[in-house]
Amino acid sequence: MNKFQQSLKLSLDFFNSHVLKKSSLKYLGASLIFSLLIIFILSPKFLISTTLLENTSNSDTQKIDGVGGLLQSLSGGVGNTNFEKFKSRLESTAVAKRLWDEGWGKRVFAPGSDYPLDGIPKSHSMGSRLSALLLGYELNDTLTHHDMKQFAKNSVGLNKVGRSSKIVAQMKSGDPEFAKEFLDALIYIADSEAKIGEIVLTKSRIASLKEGLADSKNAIVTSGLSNLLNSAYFSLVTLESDQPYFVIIVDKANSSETPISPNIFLIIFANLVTFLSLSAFISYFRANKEQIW
Amino acid sequence: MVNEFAAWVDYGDSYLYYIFEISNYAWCILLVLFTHQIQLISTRALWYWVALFSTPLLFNYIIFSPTLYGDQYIYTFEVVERAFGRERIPGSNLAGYNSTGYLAGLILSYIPLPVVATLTSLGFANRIIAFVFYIWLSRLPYFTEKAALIFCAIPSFILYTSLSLREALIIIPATVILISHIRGKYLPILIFMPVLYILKFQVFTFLTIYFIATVLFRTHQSMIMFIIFIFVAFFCLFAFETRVLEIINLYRLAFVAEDFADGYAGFGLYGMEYDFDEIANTLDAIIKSLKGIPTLLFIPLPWNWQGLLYPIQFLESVGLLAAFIWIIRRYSLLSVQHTYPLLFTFGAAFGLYSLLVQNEGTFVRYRFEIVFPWMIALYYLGVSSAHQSKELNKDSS
Repeated sequence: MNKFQQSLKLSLDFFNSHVLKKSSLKYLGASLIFSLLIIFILSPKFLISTTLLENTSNSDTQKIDGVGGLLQSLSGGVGNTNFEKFKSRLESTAVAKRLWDEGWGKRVFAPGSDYPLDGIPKSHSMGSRLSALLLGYELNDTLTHHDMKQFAKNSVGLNKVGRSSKIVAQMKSGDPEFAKEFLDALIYIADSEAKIGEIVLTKSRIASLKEGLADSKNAIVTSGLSNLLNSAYFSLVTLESDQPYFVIIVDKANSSETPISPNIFLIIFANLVTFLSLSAFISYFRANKEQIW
Repeated sequence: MVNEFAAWVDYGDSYLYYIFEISNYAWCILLVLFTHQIQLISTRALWYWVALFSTPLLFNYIIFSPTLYGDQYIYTFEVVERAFGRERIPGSNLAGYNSTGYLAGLILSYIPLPVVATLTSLGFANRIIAFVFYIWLSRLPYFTEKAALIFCAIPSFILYTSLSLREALIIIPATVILISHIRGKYLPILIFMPVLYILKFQVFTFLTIYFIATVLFRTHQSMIMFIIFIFVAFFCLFAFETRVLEIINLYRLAFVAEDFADGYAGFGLYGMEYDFDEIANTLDAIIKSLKGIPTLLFIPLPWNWQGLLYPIQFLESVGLLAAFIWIIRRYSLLSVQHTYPLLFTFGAAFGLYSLLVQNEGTFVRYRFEIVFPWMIALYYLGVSSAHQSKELNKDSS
């Protein structure tokens, strides 16, 4: 018998003696019961997503010359600006505070309860209680906008698709209607908060440009400053309108038709593999215990 | 979260994560048992791999957050998208932007795994690749099983082949290429060099220099040719100074940008104020490189340690250097001509990387991509030449 034939024989022996045997059926049955138990205790979750486009036309990134400029274009640095600004705002305390003030705290943490907005009780883990006791600081008894910030950060994913200007915001939730409203509100508030900062910056730019224009005695400089002033005023008008500035909403939040989690077939299949391997493992060790130990 | 059509669910925060990943682990154990049955691995190796296949379960979410190695998302999404028969980035292929993500995803998607549901799943795919590599290594002539086990137990090798990264697809092919060349086998070189060209151009370049030195100049057979090669290499460095420095400066700046707060985007916004130390001439490059090599050898240095991973990596770098010296002394490699082109390309790689060091985490990875293949190649050269001299002595006596 040559080496190949011997390996083939050993392989067949392995499957016949340790995998495809009667006792494996017991393990497969146990895996099905285990999977069903898991599926019963899980609640369905839907995928809520919204499609946005990054507004690159109002980006204010400065162009760099030479090697730096090459890098900037390679990395798509110019196009990243508004996305980065928007993403930072989405996860900011200011946005969380506005959401909280608009009553989202109650809808997220205590739906249908009678608690006042600033009186929603907060539960703490044993670990954080112990830390507070040992280090001597007070734990908040009620939820605040900081918890809202954490909720938004943990549950909403904001991703740019490749190098395009397409942005997808997604979240998982058992209550799709609530999640759709929340996602739309979050995006709108994040954009308007980012606009507030931008308006202050643009107004200060306008003031400086006006001063520069008043002092200028050179025709070329005056013309350049006038152009900049025009564009700053245009930005200000756009910023002060009700429409989103940093992103363009292409598709408002919508929910998947069926729950995306739990994936029943994946759970059953994963457990089948685990239990079948366990069966083979036990059988193999029983058959070869003297050699292996 | 890939795009609006992908039912990608990050199970990292739920116990479903363990259900899926334990099934991957169980599948790997089945693989180990099977290879033991067909006598590809010994009983000692069986226990070793039963333990080592569990490492992907320890790193992500337990020892550190998966965001510490953020590129795991790229390869996982690439494989998930392929599973749905889609492209992660429309139009991406083997050339241009995203070619690394595309090829790494393509290769990893062919590794049989029951479930690719979390960021850890591809860690098991990488472990399977490492396991196959171990079997190959342990069955090489003159290579003992013990040595193969020790090499596969190097902490960085375990770390990078337990995460959903492309490192296994760089380190392992580079090692196979070097050993195959020493053995005079060329098929693996033809297969893996194009892979490295896409996945890690720097490693491809260093291997190309090694092939120019050995195939064209025959430096592995003649010391005179080795000296001529060095002269030619330095002559080329000076002759093409402008182009070479342009590339080095571009990469230096690229690593500055990558290390910038908020990465390239942050650099695009505020990078103009950065005082960039540009390399002016070849001599300046050589001096800077010589000064930087000791730093690169030992990073992360004690005064930059943050967390437990850093001292482990520092101690490992000290240990690897000691192992390198031990291998050279133990097998008297300085009297073996083939050692010189290997050491030259190793030095050239370190010299170039020392000019680029900015981000410690990145360069600890880059360093290991060079140290691991070159160290195993030197070891193989040592054991094979020791065996050959033993045979020669036997024949002469």
